[in-house]
Amino acid sequence: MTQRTKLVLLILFGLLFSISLNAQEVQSFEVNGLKVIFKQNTSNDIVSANMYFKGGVTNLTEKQAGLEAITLDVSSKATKNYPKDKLNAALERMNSQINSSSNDDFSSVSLLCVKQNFDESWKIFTDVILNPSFNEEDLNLEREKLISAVKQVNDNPDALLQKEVSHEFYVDHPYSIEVNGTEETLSSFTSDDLKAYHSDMLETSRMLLVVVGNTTLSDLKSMVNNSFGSIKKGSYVTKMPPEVEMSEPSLKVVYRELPTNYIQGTYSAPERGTDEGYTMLIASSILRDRVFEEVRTKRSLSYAPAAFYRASFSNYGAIYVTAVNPDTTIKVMINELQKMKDEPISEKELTNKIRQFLTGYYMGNETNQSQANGLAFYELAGIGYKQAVKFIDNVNKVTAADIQKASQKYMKNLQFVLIGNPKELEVSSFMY
Amino acid sequence: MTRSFRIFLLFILISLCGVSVYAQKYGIYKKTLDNGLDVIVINNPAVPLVTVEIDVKNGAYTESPGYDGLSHLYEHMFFKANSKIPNQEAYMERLRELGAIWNGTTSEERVNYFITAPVDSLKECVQFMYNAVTSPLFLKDELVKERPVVTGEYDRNEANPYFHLNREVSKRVWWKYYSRKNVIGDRDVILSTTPEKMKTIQHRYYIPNNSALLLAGDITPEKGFDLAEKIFSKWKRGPNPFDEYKVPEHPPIPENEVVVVKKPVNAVTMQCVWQGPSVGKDPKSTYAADVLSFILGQETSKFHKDLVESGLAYGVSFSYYTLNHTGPITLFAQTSIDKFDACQKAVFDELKKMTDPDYFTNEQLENAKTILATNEQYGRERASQFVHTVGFWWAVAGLDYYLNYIDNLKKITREDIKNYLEKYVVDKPHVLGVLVSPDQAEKVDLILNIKEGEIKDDSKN
Repeated sequence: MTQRTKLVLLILFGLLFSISLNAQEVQSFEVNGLKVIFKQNTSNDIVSANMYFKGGVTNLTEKQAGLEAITLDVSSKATKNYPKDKLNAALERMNSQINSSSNDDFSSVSLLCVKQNFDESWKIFTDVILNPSFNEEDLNLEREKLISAVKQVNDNPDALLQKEVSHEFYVDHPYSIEVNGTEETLSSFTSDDLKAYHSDMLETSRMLLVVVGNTTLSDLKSMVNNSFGSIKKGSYVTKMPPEVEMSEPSLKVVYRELPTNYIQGTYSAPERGTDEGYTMLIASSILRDRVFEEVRTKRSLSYAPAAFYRASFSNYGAIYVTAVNPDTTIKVMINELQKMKDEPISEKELTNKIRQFLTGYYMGNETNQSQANGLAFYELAGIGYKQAVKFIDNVNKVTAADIQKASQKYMKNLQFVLIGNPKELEVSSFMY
Repeated sequence: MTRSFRIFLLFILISLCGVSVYAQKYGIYKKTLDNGLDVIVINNPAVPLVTVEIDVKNGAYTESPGYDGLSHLYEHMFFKANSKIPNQEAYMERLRELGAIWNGTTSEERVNYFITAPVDSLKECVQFMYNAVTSPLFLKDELVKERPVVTGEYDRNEANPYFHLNREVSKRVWWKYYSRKNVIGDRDVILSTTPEKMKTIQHRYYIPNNSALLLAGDITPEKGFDLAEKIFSKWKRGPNPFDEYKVPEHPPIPENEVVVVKKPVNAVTMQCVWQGPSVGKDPKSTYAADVLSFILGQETSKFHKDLVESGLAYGVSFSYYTLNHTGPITLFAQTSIDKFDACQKAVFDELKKMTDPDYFTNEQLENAKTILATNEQYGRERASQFVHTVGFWWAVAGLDYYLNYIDNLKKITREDIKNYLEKYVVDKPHVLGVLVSPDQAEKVDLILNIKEGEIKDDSKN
């Protein structure tokens, strides 16, 4: 090989390597009080742009339950510069997707498109955010769909279980307000309500923009400046929802004629992004493996035993199962909770678990959209997006002693909800 | 720059891009081993993971009534003892050592098993999958223990009201060979199955010339093919199962039928199903079907405006599920009891109008093709999921169908869509299912002009 060809090879390899490094770099800048987080990814042609609105249900009174969700939903139907048909035709022509969603902690309007259509899609995306029409007929149509969706939560035992769990766990807490509204509140909103609420939302101190994809920092800065450079800044401060502590265990039974029982036991859990938060991630994952092995593999008591740690600003951990014999099954699961407290896990189990957990983490970060949501969660939770980048390091620091300590501290006073019609029920089995 | 240097540069660039004689589209590469095993490598190094997946041409379509649900039970048994691993506990322990996340699925015409793990576990993962697929033991004790787990899955399905709607409609659409579409299967068959039946399935279908190995993620085709050759070439080929165990053709639906399913629900749901094309026999109609579905899915379409924007339905869809042994064409609509009558009339009026020349615009036709193509692009972003899509197409239609899918969609004309509708939908027998709460069922019965005893009352099941 000649010197010249070696040089060419070196340049080619260098180019590939630098692309790969750049793809990992997360940057941020501010325009008119709007914080923007940007991660360039040139390995595909997709761009994910997401505007988050802070506060979630902490912005709402009980009578306003669902107002933020319906406001964003209707806002994407028609805008000042894109009446309904023009908006839909443009999005369909490009297959650019604009969606809104709301959870207890924040709401978002998201854009997914290919880079060739980013400029044109951005115009629609920003018009949806800045200039929605809030037509009466759009509101009425969406209202009917949303009321139907709220009612249909009762048709699905898993959805109903999560609703009941939330009611039992978050008593006198901001999360007790239904983020998607109730039949009553959704029926009451007028288009003026939506317009007024939207006007309040539209201040840069209440917003966060996260873009991941195949575009450049300079292009993005210019686009953000043109679109959001002159809206009001405001002085919004996020009110973080308080942690929940339970002083005693409980069981609520919701009777339904079902072929099996849907059960979840919920306990207080630490904040995400703290040392205890990383520990609880691993502890929950170990608990999940153990209940799977004891309940499903060894005893065939259930198809679906699980354990998890909710991803919100005020958290719970939980064990979950569907079983025809609730007493027997829950005893086995609680025994596993107790073992987490009594016996430190082995180094081998910890090492393997962290390795497996990180596989799941990477799988959850394969798309630009999922990476944007991950960065946004960290930023909105007050942890800071830079910590999101250190996620793997923080998980690797978790020790067996940390897990035992966190299990002892948190895995107690379980708030159980059971949906079904069990033949027998020994309430004491659930009192843990 | 000299000519020889340009050629050299081209060679280097090709090497860097990992292109080989097996090169295909979208970073997908295929090679067939001497034993007939198709090896498919999907190169996407976005994250340092690799997914190892086995796909087998097995599933409900291979099941006579005596085997109804056993492809699915077999899928559960895959994650248990084999010649190298003594039991399920050890199996799970090994997966944790590999850092692997695992699962399997069973559908009408495909069963797949997959583990996703850090790329440094690749070789061990491929070896692990080889052991699992080639040497399952079907220990009696493990089989007996797994039966209630599968019926537990069955219980969860039955707790979902839409499962009942789908089952009642499917039983009537595939009236003669229902077991060939019934993935979850029959409880009694599941509870009484034996290791011998599992072995029958293994010897018949779990052979390399009826399977594919897919490797997706941070892996080059050269590395993937090399590993596959070293580890999987020992797997002994067998006779093509479909030569001896032919899949019977589903006879047409004899006449239009209505079934009302009564469950405690808060909306009225219509599911209307026709027998659609088989991809092997009529591929052109499958492309036309997909394009039509994505025309109707557009919010600017007449279909959406007349049914959803009018306020008659909360949502509607008209879709075709691609299968090689008669895929269903399904119309879904959801509404309230007050609007049910107007909605069901409007739905059938809409069907009559679909072959009108002005039912959709040229722009909507082209948009549908763009949407399908871009959705594929979005789907490819996630290698650990995209591998399942590729495996599905391999099993149902062949990999070439998928690789040429977008090109063939582009060729679809209005005439093709009209032909598809006339061949499979317009004036063709269908089964209409309606899911409604028991207290509102009488109104639905009246609207549909159903006499008592004429149709099945599912609430008595």
